[in-house]
Amino acid sequence: MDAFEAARYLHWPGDAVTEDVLRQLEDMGRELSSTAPPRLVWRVLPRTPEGCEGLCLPGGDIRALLEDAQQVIVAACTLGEAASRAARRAFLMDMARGVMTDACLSALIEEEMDRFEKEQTRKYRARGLYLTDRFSPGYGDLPLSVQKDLCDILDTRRTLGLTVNESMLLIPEKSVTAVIGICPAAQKHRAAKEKSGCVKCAAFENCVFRQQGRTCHG
Amino acid sequence: MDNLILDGAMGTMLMQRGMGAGELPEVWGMLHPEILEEIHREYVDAGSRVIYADTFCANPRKLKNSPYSPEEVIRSNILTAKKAAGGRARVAMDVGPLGAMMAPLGDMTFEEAYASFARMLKAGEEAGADLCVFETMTDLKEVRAGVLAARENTKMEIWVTMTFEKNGCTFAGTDAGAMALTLDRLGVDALGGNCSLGPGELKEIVEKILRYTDLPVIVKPNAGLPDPESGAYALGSADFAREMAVYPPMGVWMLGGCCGTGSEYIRALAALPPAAPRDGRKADALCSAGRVIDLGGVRVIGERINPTGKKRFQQALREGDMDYIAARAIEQEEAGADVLDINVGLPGIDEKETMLNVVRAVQAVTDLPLMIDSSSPEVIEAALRETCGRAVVNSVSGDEKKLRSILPLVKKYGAMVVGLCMDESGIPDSAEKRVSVGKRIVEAAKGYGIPPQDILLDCLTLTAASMQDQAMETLKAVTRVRRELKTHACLGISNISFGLPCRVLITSSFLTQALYAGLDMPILNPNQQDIMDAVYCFRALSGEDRGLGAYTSRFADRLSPAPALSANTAPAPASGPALDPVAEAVLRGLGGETEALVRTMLKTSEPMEVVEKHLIPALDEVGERYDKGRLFLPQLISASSAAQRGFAAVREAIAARGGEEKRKGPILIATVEGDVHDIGKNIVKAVLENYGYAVKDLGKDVPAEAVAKAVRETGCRLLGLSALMTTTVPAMERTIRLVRETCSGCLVMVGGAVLTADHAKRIGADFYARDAKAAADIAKKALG
Repeated sequence: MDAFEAARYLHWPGDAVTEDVLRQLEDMGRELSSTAPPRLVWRVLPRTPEGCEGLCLPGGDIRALLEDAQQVIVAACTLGEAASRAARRAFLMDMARGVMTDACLSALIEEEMDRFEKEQTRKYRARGLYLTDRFSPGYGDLPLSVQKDLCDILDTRRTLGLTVNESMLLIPEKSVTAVIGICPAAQKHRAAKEKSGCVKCAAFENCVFRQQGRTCHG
Repeated sequence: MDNLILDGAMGTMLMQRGMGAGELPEVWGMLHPEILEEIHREYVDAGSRVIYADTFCANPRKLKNSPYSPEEVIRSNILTAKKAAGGRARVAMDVGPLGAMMAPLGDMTFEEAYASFARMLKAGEEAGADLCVFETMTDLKEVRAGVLAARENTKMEIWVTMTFEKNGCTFAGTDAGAMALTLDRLGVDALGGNCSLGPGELKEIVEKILRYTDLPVIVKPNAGLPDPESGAYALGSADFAREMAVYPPMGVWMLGGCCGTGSEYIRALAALPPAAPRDGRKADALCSAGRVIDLGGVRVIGERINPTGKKRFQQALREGDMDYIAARAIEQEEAGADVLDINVGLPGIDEKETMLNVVRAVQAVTDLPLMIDSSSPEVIEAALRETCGRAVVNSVSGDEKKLRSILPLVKKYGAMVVGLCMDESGIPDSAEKRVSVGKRIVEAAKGYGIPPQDILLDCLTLTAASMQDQAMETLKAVTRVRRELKTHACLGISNISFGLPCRVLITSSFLTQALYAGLDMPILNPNQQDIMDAVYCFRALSGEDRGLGAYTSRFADRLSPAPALSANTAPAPASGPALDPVAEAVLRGLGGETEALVRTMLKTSEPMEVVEKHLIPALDEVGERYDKGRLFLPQLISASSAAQRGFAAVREAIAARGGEEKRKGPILIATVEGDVHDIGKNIVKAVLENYGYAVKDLGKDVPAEAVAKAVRETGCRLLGLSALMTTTVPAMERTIRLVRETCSGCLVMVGGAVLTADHAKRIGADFYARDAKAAADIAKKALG
């Protein structure tokens, strides 16, 4: 786990993180990645006008993102109940350790999604295809209510032990779902990674990084 | 032993015959009975002698939006299966997970799960199912609800298979050995694994299962794993059968297939040679869902979850402060406990309700098996129902009435039991007489089908200071019950030293002697280092600690002090003018140092002066640095916890002078209904407390009505609400509206990732707190 990444979740700029803290975060990350290893499932589905086969993806942002896509990768990843328990234990014994644990878990799952995205990008580039950015329910105008069908289509209850509650929250908590388009040409619309992408981010108003004139993606 | 061949996949077959994505297989099957019948018949023709009806998901949750009831679907699909079986195969009512996570992680309670299962199973039995099988289960809690529902509402045979990962656990953290142990003792008829992996990958898991049960074991795996792009499964029928061939020689004779397998797979399985016989042995153990504790060596039972003589613990029980109790569980686990005793006996509280809450709270944070310590059969039964895994009941005595009321519960839930070697006439004064009471208990237990190895006889420790002769009698009795009655022995150790100086010395000495006498399950305080040292030494000398690895790692650095464990998240760089030493310690998050400094100051200064001149300025400095981005969240928390230690010392000083400590507030806080994120809320709580406010935490997913009620009852003047998701902000708005309508004089602050100051105003809040520090500033403004 990248300790700087975990520090970022604590709104802690990389240049202010001390050696001591980095070492603590690294140790935690190492331990957590063995107690709560990420699990990921994914499928490739044909693109349809509504989204992809069996899954309606409403909203202008996702439509723009998938405009040229022929197929869609649908993925879900979770650190499982073990992560929730590790965080809860840490919080009970020492609140400061708790927030650091939480940050490490966020970094771990994000890294797993990045790793998956890179791996797919490499694979499809070799086939002459391009991937769009990764987009998750809750980004821009893609509603969280998509979670339910997305998890159904991946059968995440059975394949990951991941469910969606009545408020469309993923349970266990440290879980992520995402869609990525597979296109014949490099995409024209960049969703999250360009500066303009920030406007579409749900955290835009409150983003600590933006207030400091930075972005969360470096 | 001839193999019993089960069937293969249902969902896969339905899809091949035209069922579309997103259809409910149970409803589609009911609407296409001819297709269903054909699938079943193919399996029977291929050799299946038990077929699973298409009822896996026919539960109230899944059929909520369907025009058909679970009863209709179950009845129809079981009748179809029976028609296809035509007397050549038995028909199983198939039951899968209900589709929601069990509490505390999810929102499904044990009672809801039980009721849903009972409803389905009754319908299945009425329709003529020959047995019921729970399959593809991942959570042992849910399985237990199902098994109890089946046993208490039907007469059907009960089979259970769960879905394991390569690491030998389910997604929900249920260990394969723990499932075998729990279900074997709970009295199911067959158990095993299905789905998830291919036959090859399941082998180690099946070995683990075989260790803890002598029941028939079921293996019903997938045809390998599916390819994410094509959806095709990895193994063909010949490869599948070849991998399955390892199981009959292990004594596994109930074989079938899951996802990706069809009738040709079943035909191939039917051709496997018959299974080898098993030796009928099963290991002696206790477990939670996630962990098996094998008995044999010294197993430490932690005694600290018990209010007797502990003021702070009593307060926590009375206030329902489960976090405090959960932390005591973690502490004992970290100190080396193998089992946790749970006792909540306190006058004036509802023991049953409290016991259930404590069991839930403890099981949510540790994997240790539990010992349910109560004298009330009603409390014991409620706790055994709630406890996931194999527990110990503490206790029965030789008293006939006790034995009659408690032993049936021990048997029903497959628990172990502590037998106190005493009866209605008191504690016998000789080893001889204690052994004879022990013998009576063992005999009585046998009558209920409880074997000696499921009993822990407690030969009773008496206080050496008042009954010096008794120590040796106790030890003699321990040796004899172990040798003659073949039970385990437990013993509360600490009592020996009551009233003597240097208690820990005589306690650990008695412990060592008792262990040598045969004691294998001491009940003690694992947080006492010297006592646990004695346990480690004994394990080293008895040979249990093979190679002395545990001993060495415990004592290797005993001479050099262990590094501090606190999250001392870096000293804040000192800059500018030299700081007050208290501020310096607080900023560094050094609680012990802060407390020591404050105590020294209290010798010469007035308590309030220490607060105003040192602690408050220290917190102000922390706040300022945090606002300027020179201090970060973990440091803010560490610093405010350090300050809290200082405040605690001040409060003590005030109390010592007969004054009364006054905390400002109370402030109520809650995460709104539908939202399960509570990290932010918990941080706010901690920081507010550290700033000297009394905070009442209502928890997460709290309905508006409950919040309003609490506001009225406490008369609080500041309420903090948290919501993390856009989907739960409406619940926050609803809560604010209700509070405004039904309570007066309460200000509301809100926070959470998706909120902004504007948004907060729009939904009617008085304040927007962007972080914990801001919440403390608001509290100061609102309450002073």
